[in-house]
Amino acid sequence: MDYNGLVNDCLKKDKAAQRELYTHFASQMLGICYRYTKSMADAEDVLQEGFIKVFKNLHQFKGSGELGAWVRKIMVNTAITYLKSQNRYQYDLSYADSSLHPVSDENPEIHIGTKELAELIRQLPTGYQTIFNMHAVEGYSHVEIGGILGINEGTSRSQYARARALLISWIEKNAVENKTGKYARK
Amino acid sequence: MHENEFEKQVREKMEELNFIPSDAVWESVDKKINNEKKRRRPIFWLFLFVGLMTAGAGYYFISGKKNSLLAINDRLQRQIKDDKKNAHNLYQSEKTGEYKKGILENNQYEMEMEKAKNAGIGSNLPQQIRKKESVVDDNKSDGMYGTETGQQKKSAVKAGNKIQSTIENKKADDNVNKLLLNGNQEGQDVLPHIVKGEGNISKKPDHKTGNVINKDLPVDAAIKTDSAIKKKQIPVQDNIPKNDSTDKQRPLTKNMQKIHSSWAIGYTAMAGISNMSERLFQPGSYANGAYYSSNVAIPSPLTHLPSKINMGFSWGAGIFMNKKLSKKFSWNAGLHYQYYSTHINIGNYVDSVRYIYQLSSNAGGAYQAARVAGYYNDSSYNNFTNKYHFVELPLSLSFILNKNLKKPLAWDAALSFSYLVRSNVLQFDPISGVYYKNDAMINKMQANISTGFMLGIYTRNNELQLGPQIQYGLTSILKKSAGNPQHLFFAGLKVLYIPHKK
Repeated sequence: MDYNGLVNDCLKKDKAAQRELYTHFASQMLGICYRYTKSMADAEDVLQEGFIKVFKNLHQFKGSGELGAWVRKIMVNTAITYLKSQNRYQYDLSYADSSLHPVSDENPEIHIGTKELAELIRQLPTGYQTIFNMHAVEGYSHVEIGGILGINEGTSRSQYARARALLISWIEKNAVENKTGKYARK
Repeated sequence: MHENEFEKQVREKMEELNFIPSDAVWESVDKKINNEKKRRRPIFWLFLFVGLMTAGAGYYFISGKKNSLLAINDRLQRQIKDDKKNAHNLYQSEKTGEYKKGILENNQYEMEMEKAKNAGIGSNLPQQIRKKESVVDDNKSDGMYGTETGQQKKSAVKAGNKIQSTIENKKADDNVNKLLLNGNQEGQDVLPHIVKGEGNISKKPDHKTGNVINKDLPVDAAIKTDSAIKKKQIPVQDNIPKNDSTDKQRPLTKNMQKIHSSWAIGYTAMAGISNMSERLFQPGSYANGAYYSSNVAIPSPLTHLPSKINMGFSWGAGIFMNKKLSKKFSWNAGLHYQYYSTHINIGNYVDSVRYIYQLSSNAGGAYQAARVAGYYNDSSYNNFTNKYHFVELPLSLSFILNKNLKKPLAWDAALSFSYLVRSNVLQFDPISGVYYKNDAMINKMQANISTGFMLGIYTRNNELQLGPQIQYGLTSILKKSAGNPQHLFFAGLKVLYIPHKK
């Protein structure tokens, strides 16, 4: 796909081009928003805000980079801002070490589906969920996460480790339940 | 299995996570981006409109002044021609009699009259009267000036020896009075000064030359330049007869009211202190208050604190158009330059590239690493002045509170739209603890409200107003996504100067 041409058309306020850009990225970006939030309604709110920022700042997009990565970055940042602005996410966003979870170094194979995994990630406390998404999925370093969230690198690192351990325990539990259920059905 | 295998699996699975958004999302996005487009344009049009209004008002004022002067000039030229014609007719009609140079040379004429009287020529008077009446009848067809002249001539003839000087003096006087009235009715405020002076000049004979009539009237010269008007006006007013109501000098306040009924160009200047506040009536803020934003997770541990923003000097100057709406209300619109400053305490400048963390509107308002070419250390060694240079378009309404027309006290309320032309303001990175410059975080378009009291001082041709003024920025200097709101605040003295048309 010729992203540069599409961007240029969007900059010319071509509605068809705007719609095409939106349609091209919307479903993938909604998946990202979904991972960071707790409900589909919130995810769509983030998606909406994110695309408004995309179109508003499209002139700043450097043609040399990949458009998808740029849009994705905006979505992630929009999601983080959204979480900070919503009261219902505020409590979970405190990165205090008050409720620590044990760290695990396991690297289990994931035998659950995409949506099931996404649901488990969304069940993490918001702080864990955010840091896990940023590091494990988006690939941010802990230094970058610290900068974006305004926390220390060490805090990000420890929070991630605990989020990872918690998620692994849930995945294993989920896998066992699935297995038990399968045998039970048999 | 590799240590990052778990993360790799998660990433691969999450890449596959897709959902089809509802149609409402696109509708909202589409609506929003279209509204954004439309919302930005009115700001441009507003500036253009106000600019054009100001320019148009200026043109109207200047060309209106010229036109009124030209109209006066034309009218007086016509009057001079009429006077000359009347004088010539009278002179011709009396050429055969003993009053022959009576019109143009008053003193000489009076001397001749004396001679004629002594020689017993007065017995020819009835015949002269009939001739004069015929001249008067001819003049009637010329309009009111002719009629007036004729009537006065009749009475002058009846009066005998005082005939010509009385006729000419009164003629000029009445013509001027009528012109004065016409001028006033048409709102030509400049007329009274000029015409009043004119009337006096024509009425009083020049004792050096003895001329009475308008042959050497200084009217043209007086109209040509304001300075000439002034020169002619001042000596003339000393000769104002007390029994002439139209020539009486108006009280100063009435003159001022009259003068103000049209557009006037004025100049404004203000000076005082400026500061930054997070909200109205809460002065004091911190360099880029992002650190204290409730929307941002607080870094732990607290290592870097931004400098407190201290007040600085502010001044401004501009030009405006003033229009009286009524006795109490007037409004101003103009173009203004305003300088604001604040002070912060910072460390030394380091001319080196480094990464800082800033709230970025481009990245959805989250902290984002960015590279800066130079920065200031977090310290308090040096006093740094944040400077803001604005161009403003103020619109103000003034309401006079008292009844003292010589020293009116007015309450001013204004709304102004301004654009940040240049700034050196520093932002603070609470994570790495450095000050850096980033104009992208600043809202260049600003809307301000201001209010104050202005005490007016009127002189003969000028109006001066001064008084305390406060101004508050309705819009934040920092963009919403760049940190806590910071509003510019100004308090100081404002001076308005309106030179009146002469």
